Amino acid sequence: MDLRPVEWTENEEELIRRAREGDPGAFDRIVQDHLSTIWRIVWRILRHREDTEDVVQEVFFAAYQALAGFRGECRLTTWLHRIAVTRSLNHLKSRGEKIRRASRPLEVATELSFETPDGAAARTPLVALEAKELASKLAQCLEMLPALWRSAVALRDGEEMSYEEMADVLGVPLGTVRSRLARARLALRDCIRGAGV
Amino acid sequence: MTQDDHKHLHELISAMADGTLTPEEAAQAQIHLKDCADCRQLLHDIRRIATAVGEEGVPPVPGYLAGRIREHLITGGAFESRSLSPAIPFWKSPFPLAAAATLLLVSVIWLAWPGGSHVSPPPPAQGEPQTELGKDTMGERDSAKPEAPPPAARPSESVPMAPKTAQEKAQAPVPELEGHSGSLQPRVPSRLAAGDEGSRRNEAPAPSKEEAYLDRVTSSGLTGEDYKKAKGRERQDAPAAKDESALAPAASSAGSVSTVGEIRSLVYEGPDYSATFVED
Repeated sequence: MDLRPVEWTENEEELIRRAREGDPGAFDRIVQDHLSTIWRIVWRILRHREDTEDVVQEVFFAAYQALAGFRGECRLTTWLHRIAVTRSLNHLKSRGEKIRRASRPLEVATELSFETPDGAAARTPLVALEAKELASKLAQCLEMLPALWRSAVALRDGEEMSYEEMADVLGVPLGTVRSRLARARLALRDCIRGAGV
Repeated sequence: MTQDDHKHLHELISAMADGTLTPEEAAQAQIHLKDCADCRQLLHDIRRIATAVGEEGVPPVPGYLAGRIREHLITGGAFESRSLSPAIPFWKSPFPLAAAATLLLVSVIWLAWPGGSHVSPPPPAQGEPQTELGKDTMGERDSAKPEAPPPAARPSESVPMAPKTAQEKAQAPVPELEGHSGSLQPRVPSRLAAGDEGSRRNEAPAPSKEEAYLDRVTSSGLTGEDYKKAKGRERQDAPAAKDESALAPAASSAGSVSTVGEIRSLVYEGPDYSATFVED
């Protein structure tokens, strides 16, 4: 189920070719086209705004430097997502980051300043309250989830990627994607139920 | 039902929530769900959590981030450093191979040259005077002091004072560089030297001053004493003309001679008869 397909267009090929030839404008266009998606993926894994800014910058810097090695065997989107996930997980692996995350307050994703999908406001107050409480508990549980499992949930439930895309982005077989996703969901469910939701 | 069976069923239920089961897997899961309330609840919870994760708000992209990315690329040197051609390992690029081959060739020639690493200078051009510095070698160039030129060839003696005006500079003789030694060694122009030698070889020998004097006395029809007296009177009448007439032959024969050395070679250096006779 691929709900957000990104076509491999001639325009994208042209952009890649021009960016490879050193045209900064072409790479600016690539950044413009993919920034919001990369931002969401990185934020869903890191769940911290400032860290997300830093990592997103790293992602595009690394992508520009590695563009010469991009052979077009996958879509540019998949390639960028792979860089984003890898950079995010590497960021979490650093020891200093582990210490910092343990001492910082949780960033709740239900603040009013955050984007909300269409239709969320149409619920009844009781459902909306329940959803808000669930979202709060979900944020805490996602924060405690192992990074590999959290990235699987982020790609599937957050970005609605297909299992095949996830396998490409995470660099693992399809079976691993399915089992990792099942474990992450079971852990999330246990965490939320333990929190009383 | 074993632990592995449960694990397998959980994966099936998770995939069922995503709608990614094969028909066979879907049939197997449906059979189990009919008899298992926990698994039905699990399927319900997974769908609910997935929806919640999808509806989770994400902070908007900061408006300045695209500019920061571009700035990061510029300050990081990514935009300046290259055109992004496909990367080629340096050992596969032609430049190092060509450089190594050139270095090897130069080394072989250097070592195979007669006299080891000393390089003999090219033979001097025909007619070009060979100086001691012309025999200098590359290996000795830095350490060997140039030998002092012979006194007659010193610039201070053979080269006139440095011209001060532009016109003087244009007319002044330009000392030529000897070989590649870098020293200022004025050399005799080959044209003048050859012409001088040629004129001395090809023309009949000029009569001596004594012979010319005897000829003039004989042709005048006077005795020697009378001839001297007559010439003495003429000299007293026009003393200034003597110097000009004496210098005239040298100046005219000098022609385009331009150096003091050249003039000196053309000036008569024999006995001075100017006190005893006056040339016509």
